[in-house]
Amino acid sequence: MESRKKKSGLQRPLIGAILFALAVLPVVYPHPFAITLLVFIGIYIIVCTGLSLIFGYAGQLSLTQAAFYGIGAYTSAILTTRYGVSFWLALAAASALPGLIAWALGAPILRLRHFYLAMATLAFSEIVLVFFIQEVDITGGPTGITHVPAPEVFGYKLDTTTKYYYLVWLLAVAVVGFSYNLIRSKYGRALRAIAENEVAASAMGVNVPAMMSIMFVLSAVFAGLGGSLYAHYVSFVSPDTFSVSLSIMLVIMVAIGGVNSLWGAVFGAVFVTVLPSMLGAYRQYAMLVYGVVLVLALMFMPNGITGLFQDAAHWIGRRRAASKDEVKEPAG
Amino acid sequence: MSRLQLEGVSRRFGGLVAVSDLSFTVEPARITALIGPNGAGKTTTFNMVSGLIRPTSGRITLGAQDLTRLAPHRICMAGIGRSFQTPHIFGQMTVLENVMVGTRVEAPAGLLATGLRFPSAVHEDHDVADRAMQELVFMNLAHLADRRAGALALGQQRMVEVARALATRPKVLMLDEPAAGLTHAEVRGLKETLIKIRDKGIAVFLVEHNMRFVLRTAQHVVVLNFGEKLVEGPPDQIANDERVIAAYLGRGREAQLAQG
Repeated sequence: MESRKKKSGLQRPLIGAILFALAVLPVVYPHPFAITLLVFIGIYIIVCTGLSLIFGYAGQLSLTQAAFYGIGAYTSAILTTRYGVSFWLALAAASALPGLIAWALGAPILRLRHFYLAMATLAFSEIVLVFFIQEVDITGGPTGITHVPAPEVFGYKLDTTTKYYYLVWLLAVAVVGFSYNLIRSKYGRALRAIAENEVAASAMGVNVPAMMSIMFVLSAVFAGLGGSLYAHYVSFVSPDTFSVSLSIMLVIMVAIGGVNSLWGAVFGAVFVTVLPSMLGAYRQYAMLVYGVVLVLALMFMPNGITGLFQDAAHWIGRRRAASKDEVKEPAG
Repeated sequence: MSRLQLEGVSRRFGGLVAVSDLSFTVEPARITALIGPNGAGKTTTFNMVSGLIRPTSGRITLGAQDLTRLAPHRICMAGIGRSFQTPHIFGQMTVLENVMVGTRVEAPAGLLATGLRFPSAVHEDHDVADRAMQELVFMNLAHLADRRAGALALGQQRMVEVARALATRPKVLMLDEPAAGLTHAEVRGLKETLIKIRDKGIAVFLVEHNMRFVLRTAQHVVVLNFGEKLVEGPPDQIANDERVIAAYLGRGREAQLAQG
């Protein structure tokens, strides 16, 4: 019990500081490139948090996340450009539709495990991609849909990157907060129980299929939400954005960030978004660098970047405890 | 109080009859032991009651409720708690969290309420932690609450599993070889614990190899051999039964069937 208190005691000021920094950043450092990067980081955090629930916590490798992201983006784009639907309604629909599809898809495929589940989700992603490319009447085919309008919030147009930044991060914080609350509740415990031992979990009253379905749906809802935000930000959608390689990239993000913590999704999103811009002229080698980093990460830090931080915190804690003992010893 | 009843339960694996036409009753507030040589069908029987495998034929009921075709989590909710032969502990979680998984049965807060931290969900989480802690106190494990469960010794892991099963508020507590791998002192402690659990009115139902432990602890013993019930009765009668002695010392060991 004590350890849990200690943890939240350390995390709360940290989270407060991060939120404060995010809030004032566009004011004190209004660099357009940095803000743009942060908009994408925010969007990827939303998408990765969803993936973290199903992949990180329940331990099931899903390669559908980019497909749900794409479905969200297309739903929003189609509804706003062709039917004049308002942004909020489109956002809601773009989140709900992937959720519904995940619910229907989950019934047959979530019985599969490990590589079989990965393959089934991979197949689904390919089908969605073919749909985006071939169904020209609905999706605009290979050219996609252009002129997706900037969102309007109560008559206030979010037409600058800075305004959009606040919208994205408001939603990102909400998504991470919601997921965080779930993770430390009975849902999180049930998920971790499933990841460790499904038989024991079910014998303890955990409805394994229902729990997996809930998390799959939730991950799809978050992906759709992120997709909608993406579409309204870049103002166009085209099929090649949502290829399977993005799904793999998202899995890499979560793996590098650390699979058994929501912070992993956050760190992963930051890393994968920032890296290509750091590579500058060598950007075309980004995939190569991800590959190398992933291999190195899996070899030397299986708990990802988050794990490194946790190890450091443990190490400092032990050092402190040790120095306390040293002080005690002469007295005792 | 509701009793667990097996009526003509059979289970075939292909051509192999693992359990054949098995009938017996597990009464509340009594310790019932299921014994038999290796491969007699004890664990298969356990797995059928807890829904991990389905009987080929027969009926399993708890009070008025038919468990025969229910999913494992439904059977748990109906009032069957269990432990496993090799500890199926959630090793990466703390001992307290392990037991809290068991308390799901009584935690109704929904996804939205939990994700948005509604007061009801927050209260529920506190209540659940308290309940889990009570079970740990009952099992004398409170001092281990914050330890990572996977780091515990085997005996302690078994006891955590019992606490976790108790947290599901079982009417029947099924323990698969709880004494295996325990020290003498731990076995004595286990006996006292089982009696305490029985005295709460819970039906304790165990599979056990340690005959001395069974004869001293159980009030009712069911003996299986080659998937069939050989005999059942109070322990002193079982200990002197010719057929039981023959099964244990005689031909029983020839059949090393798959289901341990």
